[in-house]
Amino acid sequence: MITATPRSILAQAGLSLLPVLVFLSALKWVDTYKLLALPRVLRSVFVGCAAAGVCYALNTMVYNLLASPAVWARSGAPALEEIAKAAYIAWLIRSNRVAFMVDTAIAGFAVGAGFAMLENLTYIPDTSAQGLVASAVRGLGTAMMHGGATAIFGTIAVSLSEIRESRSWLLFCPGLIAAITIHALYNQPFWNPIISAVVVLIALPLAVALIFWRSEKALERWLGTKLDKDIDLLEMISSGSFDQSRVGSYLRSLESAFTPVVLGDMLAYLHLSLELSARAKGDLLRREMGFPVEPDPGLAGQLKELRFLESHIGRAGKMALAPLLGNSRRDIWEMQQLADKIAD
Amino acid sequence: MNIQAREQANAVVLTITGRMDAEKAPQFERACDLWIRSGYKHLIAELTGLEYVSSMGLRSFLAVAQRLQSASGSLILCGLKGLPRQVFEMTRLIDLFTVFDSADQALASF
Repeated sequence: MITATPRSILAQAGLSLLPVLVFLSALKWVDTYKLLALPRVLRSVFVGCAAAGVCYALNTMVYNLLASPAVWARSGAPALEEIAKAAYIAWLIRSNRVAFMVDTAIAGFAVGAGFAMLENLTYIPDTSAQGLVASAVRGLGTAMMHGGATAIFGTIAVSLSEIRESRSWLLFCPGLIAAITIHALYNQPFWNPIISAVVVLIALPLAVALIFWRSEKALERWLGTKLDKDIDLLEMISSGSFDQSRVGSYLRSLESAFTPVVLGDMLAYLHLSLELSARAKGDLLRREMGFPVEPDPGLAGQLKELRFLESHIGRAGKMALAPLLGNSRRDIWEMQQLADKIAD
Repeated sequence: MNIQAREQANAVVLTITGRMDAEKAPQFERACDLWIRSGYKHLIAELTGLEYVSSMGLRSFLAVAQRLQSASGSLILCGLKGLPRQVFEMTRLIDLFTVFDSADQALASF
């Protein structure tokens, strides 16, 4: 409930913004690879605010209908709010806009911080009655719970989809159950609100920090292994004895299945995919080492050409090249990263 | 991989031959570190004999460049050709370095 005096309204607005500011400042240190550009982070914060708005309207409607609103607040509202926040993260995962635990956790935290910003504006108790420090702790705790729960949902979902190599909606269920459980526990009346906020403020950052650390290591390994594969493939294609190479013999084995024109386009597609893949990893290496990533005016044309070749060689041609190029979620993600760079 | 170093003017020319892979890349970083700690701010990597560079090799080049840049120095690449040049170009990491055809040209630029 918003208090009447201008001073307490200002204090409440400040407290609501605080978690978002803390989150954005922390990003500078935790995301070595700068996997999520600032516009996407801010978009996620905005989506979180919008989700909070929708949930506020729905929750108010349900409170007015039910005889015991407290029951809804402890069980129904957490489920509704976690589903609302998770929907956007699920879309990011399914559209390959995030592919690692790190970027998914960042997006989840951003959505949660945005959600908490609006929620704190409406739900933080009267700051003058509870005291500014107590309100700040409770506000930060709520933001951490929202951000942490959605980040945990995202990291579980993205890990499962990577392990199972699937994008099935069912893979989102375990993460969603975990997020709803955290949220519902936080809302239970048997905890002192301030103590539960302090516990959340200590435990969730530790859990998320561990996820970040493990994911950054995994990303470093993936980057090295995949780039070395690209370089080895390039070495084979560029060597004078292409016909005798593994790639050459493989493409020759496809001669009976494709016309010479399509085979030529498949080779061009292979080379261009390799070039763009190496490029995307070069950008990641630059970020890892703290160098800026400059815009590339030729990138839009290359991606357009890739799409043209893709349509020309068809599904069969792409499937035939899959053993050489790979077609995992992360392979698609790196192309999406390049495309997003043009869009941003 | 083999590394030979010679001091010339106010720079050090490191001639690198062979394959710079995950196993050998730290050797390059260690060699550069020694010269940087001796006070040299400009290192010239003569790469005519470099046959292969892996992701770890690229990381090492970037790490040395970063260290030198923060000390107002530079890592200059010379004689890049073949596969290593393609790798530097495709990853667009070549833009981060000053590149010359030969070490003599690089030395003349000081």
